Amino acid sequence: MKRGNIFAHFVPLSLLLLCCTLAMGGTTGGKESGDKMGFIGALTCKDCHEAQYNSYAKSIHFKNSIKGPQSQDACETCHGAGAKHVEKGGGRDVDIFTFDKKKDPKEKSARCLTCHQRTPGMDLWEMGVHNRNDVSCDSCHELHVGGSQKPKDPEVCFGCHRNIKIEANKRSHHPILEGKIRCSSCHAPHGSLNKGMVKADDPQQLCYKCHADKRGPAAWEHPPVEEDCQNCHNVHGSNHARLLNERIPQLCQNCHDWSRHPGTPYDNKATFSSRWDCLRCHPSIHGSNSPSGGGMRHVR
Amino acid sequence: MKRMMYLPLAVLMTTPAFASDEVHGDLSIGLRATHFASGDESAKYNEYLDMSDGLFGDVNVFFDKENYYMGFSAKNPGLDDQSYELWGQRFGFAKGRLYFDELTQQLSLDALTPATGIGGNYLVTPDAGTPASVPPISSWTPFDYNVERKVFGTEFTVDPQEKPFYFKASMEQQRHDGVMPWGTTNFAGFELPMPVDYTTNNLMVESGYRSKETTAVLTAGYSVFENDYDLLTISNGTDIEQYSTPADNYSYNFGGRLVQRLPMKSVLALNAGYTRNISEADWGQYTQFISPSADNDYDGDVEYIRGGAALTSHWSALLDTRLFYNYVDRNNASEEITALDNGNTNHLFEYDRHKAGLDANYRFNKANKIAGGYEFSYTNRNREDSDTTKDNLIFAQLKNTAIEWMSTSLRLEYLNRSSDTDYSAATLEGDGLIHQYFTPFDNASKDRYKAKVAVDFNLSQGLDLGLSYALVNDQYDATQLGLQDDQRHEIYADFNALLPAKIRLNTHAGYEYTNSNFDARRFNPGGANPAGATNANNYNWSEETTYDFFVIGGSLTVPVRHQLDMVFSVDHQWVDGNIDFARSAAAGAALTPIADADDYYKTQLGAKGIFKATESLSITLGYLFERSNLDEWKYVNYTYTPGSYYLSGAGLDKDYEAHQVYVITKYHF
Repeated sequence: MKRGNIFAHFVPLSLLLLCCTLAMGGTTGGKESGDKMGFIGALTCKDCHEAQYNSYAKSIHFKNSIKGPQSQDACETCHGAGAKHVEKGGGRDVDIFTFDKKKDPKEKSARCLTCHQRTPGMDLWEMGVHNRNDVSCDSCHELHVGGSQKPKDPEVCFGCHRNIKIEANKRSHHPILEGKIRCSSCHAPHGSLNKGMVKADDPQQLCYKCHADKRGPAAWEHPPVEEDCQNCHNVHGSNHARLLNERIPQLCQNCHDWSRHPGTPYDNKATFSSRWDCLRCHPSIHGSNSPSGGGMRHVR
Repeated sequence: MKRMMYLPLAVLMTTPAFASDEVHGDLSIGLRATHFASGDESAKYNEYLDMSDGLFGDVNVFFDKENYYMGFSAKNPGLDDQSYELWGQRFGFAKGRLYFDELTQQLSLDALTPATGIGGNYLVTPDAGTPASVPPISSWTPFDYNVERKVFGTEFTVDPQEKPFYFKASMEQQRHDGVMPWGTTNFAGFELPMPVDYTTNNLMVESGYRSKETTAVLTAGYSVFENDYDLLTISNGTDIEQYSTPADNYSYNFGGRLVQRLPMKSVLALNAGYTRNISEADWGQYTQFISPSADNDYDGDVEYIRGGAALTSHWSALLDTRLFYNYVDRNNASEEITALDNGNTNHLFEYDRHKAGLDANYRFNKANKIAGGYEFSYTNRNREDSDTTKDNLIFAQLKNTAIEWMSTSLRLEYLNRSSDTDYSAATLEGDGLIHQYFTPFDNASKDRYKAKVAVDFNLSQGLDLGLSYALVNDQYDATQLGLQDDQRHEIYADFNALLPAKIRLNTHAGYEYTNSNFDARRFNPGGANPAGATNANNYNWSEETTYDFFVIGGSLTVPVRHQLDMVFSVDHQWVDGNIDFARSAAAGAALTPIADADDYYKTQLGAKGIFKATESLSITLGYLFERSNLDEWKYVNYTYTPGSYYLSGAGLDKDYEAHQVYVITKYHF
C-alpha cells in the first residue's frame, strides 16, 4: 500500500470519531446559589452585574457539563466568595477578586490554573516566557464571551509584539496577515522548554514541518543551513526577497571569500552575479543530492 | 471511494444530536472587481490570496449545546485560497477538527523561456553557448511562476476530565505543485522553471498523564516527503545537463517530558528526544556522473539526540528563579562519497551543543521588578572554519508600574561570543590562505549589545499609547576580513483611541535603521594574502550597507449614523537601501555605490461604508487602493540576456497599482 493511502483513511475515520464523540450525551449538575459559608450564588451577583452575568451565561464556563465554574461556585469560583463584598455594598476590588490590569498577573493566572493546569500543554506554563514576563491568561483570553475563547491570532499577539507586527507586513513575509499561518502554528504561547517557545525541538525542525524539501539530509550539505535556518532567513518578514536577512550577494559574501568571483565587489557597474544573484548558478543552496562534485558548490 | 462511505455514516450518527440545537453563525457573499493601472499586474499583489474578480465569501456555522459544540467554516469556496474547517468538542471529553486549506503562492507572472517542457522535469533548451541557436525573446513561451499548496489534515484530543490520561493525534498532508525559478549553468545557461511536485505527510501522536503533582508526556512523530521530480534534466538536443532537486526523505522522532511539582511552588521539568532524518536520493536516473555509490543511490542519515532540564522555584512572593540545561547532539551517519568527475568529497556535518542558564525575577515591591540572568552555551562542530563557539550572555531587565496608567520596561543584554577555527595545513594552501584572514559571520567571535526600552500608557479606558525603542549592535573586533559590525535601531509606536461619538482610531508607526560594514579581498589565484600586492585583480575592499525602513498606518472608524459606519484605513511603508564601496586607487577606478538596494514602497488606502440594514443584515461597500514599487538595482535596465546567460524575467513584474471596489452582504443568523 502506498504511504498516502493510510492518510486517506485516517481523515474520514477521524471525522467519524469526532461525530460519535459529539453524539454521546451526559451532563453534570450546576449550581446557581451559594450553599457554602461566605458564598452568595451567581444570581445574587447578577443583581448588580447583569451585563457580566449575561456574558458569562453565554460562555463555555457556564456549561454544567464541564468541571468548570458553573458546576462549582459559578462567579465565585474565579472571583472568590462574595458575601463580604455584598455586605460592604460592593465596589471595585472591595473584598472580591477582580481581573484588573493592576492585579498581580501570577495571581490572576493562578485562578485559571486551578482548573486549567491539567489542560494538555499547560504543564509548562511556569517555564514559559509569557508567565515570566507577567503575561496572565486574561492578557490574551476574553473570559466573558460566547463561543470560542481562543484569542484572535495574530491580532492579540501583535498587541505586545510590535516588531513582529511590522515584520509580518514587510514586502517578503510568511502569510500570517493573510490568515494562512497563525502565530500559534509555530509558537506554544502557554509555555515551552524551547527558545522562542517554538513548537519543535529547534527552529529548523519546526521549519521542516512545512518545508520538508529542505530536510535532507543532502549529500552536499550547507552547514549554516543545517544549524539554523535563521542564519539566512528572518522568518517573520523581511525587506529582502525570500525572507532573507540581507540582500544577495551581500548575504553570501558575509561568509564566502575566494579567488575571482566570490570575493569581487559588485558595485552598480558590475556585470556578473550582483545582477544575476548568486542563486542563478548555485540554486541548491539548501543542499545538493547530485553525484557530481559540483554538488559541493551547490550548482548541481 | 471506500473512504467516502464514512461520510454519510458520520452524518447519520450526528443528525439526532443536532436535532434540537441552537444554530448560529454568519454568511458573507461579496463581489469585487480590480483595475490595474497601465495594465501593471504583479504576483506580489495576490502573492498568497486569490484576489480575482467575481464572487467571494465565507460561511461560519456553530451548533452550541450544553454538552458539546460544533462549528463549520468555509472561506472563499472555489477560489485558489479556499479553506474549510469542521471542528467540535464534547466538553470534558474530547475535541477535534478537520481542515483543508489552499493557497497559491504567486512568485512571478509573465515570465518567458525558450525551453519546452514547462512543468515537467525534462526541459529542452537551445545551446546557451551558441547565441545564434537561441531564438529571439519575442518567440519565447510565457508562463507564470507559482506554487500551489494544499493542506488537508485532522487532529483530535481525547481528554476525559475525570481521567488522568489524555491522548492527542494529528495528521496532515501537504501538496505543493507548480514551478519556481531555478538557475542552471554550462550549455544550459538559463534561468528555468523547476517543477515542484511535493507531497509531505506528517503524523504526530502525544499521550500524557497528569496528577496534581506530576505530568508525564510521551510524543512520537513521523513525516514523509516525496518529490515526484527528484531530478531535473536539461537537453539541448545533443547534450544533457542534470541537476538534483530535493530528494525523498522521511523523519521520525520520539520524545518525552516529565514535569514534577516540588515544594516551594517549584517545578522541575525533564525532557529527552530523538529525531532521525533519512533521505533516499535515487541516482539510478542519472546518466551523467558515474555514481560513486555501489547501490546507485545516496543515503542520507542524520540523528539528533536531545536532553534538557529546567527548574523554576519561588523562593518567596518576591523572588523566583529558573535554572535550565539543554543538550543537542547531531550525528551524521550519511554516506561518504567522492565524486568521480572532480574528486570532491562530501563533508558529513555534525555538532553538539550544551546550553545552561540561570535567571531570576525579584519584585522590590508591587510596582518595581528586576530580572536578570546568565546563559552559557558551547557548540562543538566538525567545521574547520567554525570549530567551537562559546557564548556568554548576561541580561538585566527592569519593569516599573508605579503609575497606574503607565508601565515602563528596560532590558539590557550583552553577549560575548568566542569562536575557534581548526584549519588543516592543506586547507590553508593556495587560495585557501584566505581562510587565515577571512571569518564567516555566522559563528564569528563578537560582542553584541542589546537594549530595549518600552513605555505603555493606558491613559483612560480605550486610550492607549505604546512606544518602544531597541538597539542591537554587533562588533566583530576579532575579524580581519569579513563582517566588521552590524547595527540596528528600531522605533515603534502604537496609538489606539476610542473617541467621543464612538469614533475609533488605531494607528501604528515604525522606523528601522540598519548599518553594517564589511571588509574583503578580491584576488586572483595566488593573491589571497591581504598584505600582498594591490593591482586591478588583487585588492582589499570594503562595503557599507545602510537601510532605512519607515512604516505608518492606521484605521479610523466613524459611526456616521445609527446604521452606518465609515472605516478609513491607510498603510504606507518604504525602504531606502544604500551600499557604498571603497578600495585603493591602485586597484582601479573608484567603485560606484548602489543607491537602490531593495528600495521599495507600498501604499494601501481603503474606505468602506458598513450599512446595518437590520440587526442581522449588513451591507459593506468599499474601495481599496494599493500601489507598490520596487527599485532594486538588479532590475534597473533589466535584460533577459546578460552576457551568455539567459534570464526568464522572474521578479520583473514587481510594480503594480491596483484599484478595487467591492460589495459584501453579511447575514448573521
